[in-house]
Amino acid sequence: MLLRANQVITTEEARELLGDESDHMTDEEVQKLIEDFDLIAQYTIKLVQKFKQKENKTA
Amino acid sequence: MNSVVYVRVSTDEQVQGTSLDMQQKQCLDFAKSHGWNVPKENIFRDEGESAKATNRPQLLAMLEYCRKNKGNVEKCIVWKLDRFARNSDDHVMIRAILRKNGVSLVSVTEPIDDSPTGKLMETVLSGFAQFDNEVRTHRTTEGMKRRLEQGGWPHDAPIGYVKARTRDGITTIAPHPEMAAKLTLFLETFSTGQYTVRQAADLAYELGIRNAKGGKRTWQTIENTIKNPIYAGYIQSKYTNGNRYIGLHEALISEATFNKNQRILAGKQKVFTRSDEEDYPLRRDFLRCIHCSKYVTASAPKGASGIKYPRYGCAHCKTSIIGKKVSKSSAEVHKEFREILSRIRYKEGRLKVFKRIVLQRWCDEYDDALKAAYQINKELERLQVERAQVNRKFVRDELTYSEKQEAVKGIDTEIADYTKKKVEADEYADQKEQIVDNAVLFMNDPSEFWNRAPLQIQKAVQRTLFPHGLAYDFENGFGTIELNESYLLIQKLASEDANNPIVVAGARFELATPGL
Repeated sequence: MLLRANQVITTEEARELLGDESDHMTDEEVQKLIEDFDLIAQYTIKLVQKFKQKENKTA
Repeated sequence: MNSVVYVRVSTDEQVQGTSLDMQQKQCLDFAKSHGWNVPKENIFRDEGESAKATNRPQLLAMLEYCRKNKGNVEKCIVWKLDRFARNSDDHVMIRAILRKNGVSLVSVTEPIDDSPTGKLMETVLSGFAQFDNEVRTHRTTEGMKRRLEQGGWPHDAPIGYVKARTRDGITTIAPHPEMAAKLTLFLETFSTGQYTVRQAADLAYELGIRNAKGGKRTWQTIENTIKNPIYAGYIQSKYTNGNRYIGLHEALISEATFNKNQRILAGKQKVFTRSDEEDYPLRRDFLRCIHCSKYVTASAPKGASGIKYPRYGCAHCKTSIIGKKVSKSSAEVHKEFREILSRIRYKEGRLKVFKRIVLQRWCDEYDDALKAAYQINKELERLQVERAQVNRKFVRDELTYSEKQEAVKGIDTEIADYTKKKVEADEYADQKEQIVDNAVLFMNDPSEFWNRAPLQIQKAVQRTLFPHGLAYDFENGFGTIELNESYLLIQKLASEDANNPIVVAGARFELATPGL
């Protein structure tokens, strides 16, 4: 099982959530997916926060 | 032979009557009574200088004068030994320089000379000067510590604040009428994670946060500003031994923003920066030329008018050989790519992974805020108990009515403050579901999301959808029906129902001729 520093979820957890799809994926591919989703998640949270702030200001 | 006179006052001492003129007069009278000649230019005066520092300009000038005129200077006359130095080491050092140049030290008010008794006296007196200084330093430090523990700020006001006093006379700081808003904007902008510290230094300059000469602050100074908890309403300095106290001053940013900034500095939170690469998200490790399998490159040739026209192209294929286009404007390629994205969606499993990660990241980010909310609740409970106790004491006649009223008023003010903080903290918790849902909503439209995201995110989106990249034909776009099964699927569904998106799971876009 690959587990890296500041890892949000393990590859095993990710495989569970991915379901059948993960059968064709290597651990490295799952790990890469986690890292990319992590990057997108952090960015998206910021985006949503900005959006919320704007909303609050105009409200 | 001539002699020199050295006089010094600190700013405080001028008020207390040990003025430079008084010292100078007594030194000159003393010299005259002993028959020592002191020319006017041999009088060295340090005004407003502490004896703790040895780099006092006139002291150094006097020592230099003695060195240059070695053999022609007989005495160095001071009013009192503590004019020289406030610690024994400095005293011995200065004394050694004088002795080396053949100059004897003479004090107007103290019995020192080169006899054994005089030398003993000198050592004892310089030791007392050091002791006196250490007592003063200790008192000052203790006073500062007390002020800091009370939430006051006895140091210079940091940028964004001005010095102020509370009604009780405690030295504190208050927001600067102009700079405070700039600091708030700067620190909040940094918390978006779109700046490195060096870029933040540029941002600070643009916002008008500059050094005393109107220039750019160094990135180290800017980093210290971002690290300073004073902007979040806390007190921490070298005198607090690492402890942090709640300040009496007004915070310029929320605690959550401050914590976010610390995570960004510590590298625990991603920094999303812009770069020149931004114009070409599909190059390098994503798009491959369908003819030669090599990754496409990008360039921006200038037109006749000097305007740049960004393009993707294949550096290995030539139109003259293969008879087909080998480059295309990046705007057109992006448009085609977005068309593909507009018809695809992540598979449910992938969305689940993404949702879990968003939730986890959100929890990390607001962990501190949630801890703060817990602390606030505890404080509120404590204050309610305290209030009830005051009322009980009043009922038992242990407090007068006015004493009770005063105590209750103080507690109620604190309760009001904490209640306000509680509302803010609760808002964070309430946002949890909303933020996760909204984040997933963003991801449900990869085309729009990809179009607006910075390069790093665009590439991440590309990889999660097409982990093996895509083949590209500059003539026909993203593959052809014959060449690419996944593309065929998209085209097929798109023609059946243009509004019906395809669910993809990291589609593997194999090259039709991978061996080439």
